Amino acid sequence: MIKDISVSIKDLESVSYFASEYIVDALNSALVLNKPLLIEGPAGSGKTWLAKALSHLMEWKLIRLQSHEGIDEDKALYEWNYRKQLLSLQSDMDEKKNIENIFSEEFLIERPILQALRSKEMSLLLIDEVDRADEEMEALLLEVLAEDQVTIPELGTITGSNNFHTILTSNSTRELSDALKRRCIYLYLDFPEINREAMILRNHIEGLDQDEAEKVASLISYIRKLNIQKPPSIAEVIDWLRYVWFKNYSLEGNGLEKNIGILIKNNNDQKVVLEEIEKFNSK
Amino acid sequence: MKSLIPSNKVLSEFANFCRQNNLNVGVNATKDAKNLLSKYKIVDIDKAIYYLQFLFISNKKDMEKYNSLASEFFKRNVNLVNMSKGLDYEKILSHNKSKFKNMNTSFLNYLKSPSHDNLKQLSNDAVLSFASLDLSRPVSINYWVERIMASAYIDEIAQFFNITSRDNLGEFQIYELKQRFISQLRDEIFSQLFYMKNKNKKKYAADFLDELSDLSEKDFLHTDKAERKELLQEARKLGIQLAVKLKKQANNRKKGRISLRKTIRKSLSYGGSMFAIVHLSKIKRKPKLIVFCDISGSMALYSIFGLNFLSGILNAFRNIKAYVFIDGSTEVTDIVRKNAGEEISSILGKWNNYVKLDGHSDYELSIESLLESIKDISSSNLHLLVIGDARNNYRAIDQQVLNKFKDKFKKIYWLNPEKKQYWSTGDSIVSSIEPICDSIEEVRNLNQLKIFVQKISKQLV
Repeated sequence: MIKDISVSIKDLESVSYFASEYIVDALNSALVLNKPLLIEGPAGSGKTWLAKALSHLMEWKLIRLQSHEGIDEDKALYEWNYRKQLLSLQSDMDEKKNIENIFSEEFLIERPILQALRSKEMSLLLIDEVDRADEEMEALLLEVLAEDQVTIPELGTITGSNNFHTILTSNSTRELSDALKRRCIYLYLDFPEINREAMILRNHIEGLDQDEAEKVASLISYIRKLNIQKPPSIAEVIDWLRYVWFKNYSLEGNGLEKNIGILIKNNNDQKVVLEEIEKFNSK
Repeated sequence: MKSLIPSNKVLSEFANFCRQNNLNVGVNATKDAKNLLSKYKIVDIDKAIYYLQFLFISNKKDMEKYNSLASEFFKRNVNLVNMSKGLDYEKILSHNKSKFKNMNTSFLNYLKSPSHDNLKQLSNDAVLSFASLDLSRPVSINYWVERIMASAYIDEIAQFFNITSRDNLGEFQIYELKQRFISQLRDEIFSQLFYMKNKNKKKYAADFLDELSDLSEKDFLHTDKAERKELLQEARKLGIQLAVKLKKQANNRKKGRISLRKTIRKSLSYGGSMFAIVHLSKIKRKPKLIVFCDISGSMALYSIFGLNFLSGILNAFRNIKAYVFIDGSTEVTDIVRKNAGEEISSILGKWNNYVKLDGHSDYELSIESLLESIKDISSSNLHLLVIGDARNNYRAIDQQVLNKFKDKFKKIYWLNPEKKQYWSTGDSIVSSIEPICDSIEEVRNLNQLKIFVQKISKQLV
């Protein structure tokens, strides 16, 4: 089914997300074809941020499912409210009533996927860090993503109201199944390019001019290419620069050494970064 | 003239073509593709290829493959360069204002307007300016990319990035601009060469191999995936065969020569009868072998065959060490011993790990590095097998280094995958190394490798 929804770079900028044409085209392809969008990329590159920006822009309700190892139907899809069921059974027995159906809507707890399927208003289902979940969880997602429905043994098949879009994010810690990937539009979201990162920084730090922002973004781009375990995320860069800006520290000389802990969170990485910057500066 | 939107038939054929080349495209991708292209009213084939990537790619590592497949299928120069990276070269322009007259026009146009079309033009000029380009040579495209990137044309452009900034952060800015420019230009040149090679595929095909059906006569470089798999296994078996022969010869001398003096002395204890014959103790003369494999760009697929051959030897015979080299050598004995087949290409996939300097072949540095690594290994009965095309990027090679090389080994055997007609042409140093080798053979197919193995196994003692 083809939908007539699309966003532009300017639209996303209005909600403080600075996207490239490539990102917008991938996003629009998913919206138009009404297919899930799978966003893969390094941690901290703005994947979840994109989903939040989209939901804010389109005024869609954001339904978030944070994946983790061992997540199952109970956390992702639905759960029966056992306590309520037991209490209901007890009270029905006490009042000598006929035991009502304890597997009815009254006792059903909707988890994110079911909430999205049954949502009456337009919503965005964000399945965050799907690579952390097990393969069994992926299998559960297949029915939802492909057929917009899910089966609950006690209630039967529940078909979606076509009122939601889906975005999945992955940090590529493991390879997702082909079956899942084939059902999605694929977007690889790397760390932003220098000019895009400069725009993000300027959006968060008042008074930062274009030239300064590009210089900082260039430094960060250089750092991310070094042989370090954990490149700094966009959020960490913003925090670091906010601190430096607030304290009016210089980034020249040993300015970085004083506050590197905000930017680089690994001890070995910090040594590597400081050494390499010193080498670069002494050339 | 703009091309028409690909029809359903063309989209299906392209999807099948991708699947045949191990790009996993879903069954519904074609239908979705048609819907997407219709929705956006895309009538331009380049735009269509751009949008199809969102449906056909499901992995970061598939992006490069998609580029190549789209280029091959649609017979176009495809490079899904993200031009919306929006690099601003204003800084470079403002520092070089006085030099505009001397600046290359394509480069200046690109700096002023960094569009994909301008990048293509610049790439085109760089390729055309490189007179030695010969796509019929059996080398990888990366080999030519590196040659072009090291050319005077690129040097002339790159010098405009040599700007000193007033502050350290400014230096990072200029450095990053230069790196990004070089990277984009390199990618574009690769796409262009790939397109040129595929466009004229028939022209560049090895004519002397066209009619051959015998796989053992087929050039390693002109094999398809299935043939390659078979040949890799055969190369490994030949390695094992050689190793078995080496072991046999090493073990054959279980007994030394008969010692007449000792035998007579012994017979005294038997009243003069020669009950016991005494042999001299066997002097262990197990042959020691060093294998030295060139994995630079010019070697292309031959390195993989060389390493597979080597893995066969290594797994069957312990007294061997393996080294790979580009501009310095690295020991890979354990890696090659543990891997085989296509997995060995994982060694070459991490190509950067083996680059010591600039990534261009340097036989002198590589030989020196090897000699340093094996300095503690005794030269007695030490043999060397080199797998390389002897292309040295127009670098001279010191005769003293070659002499030291010759002195270290009892025998040196050289397998050269390049056709003999190209030896000693261009930057080939075959004429320098031939005098120090006991044997230098052209080995480009399985049969030649077999003949070499038969020859060497008689001599390796």
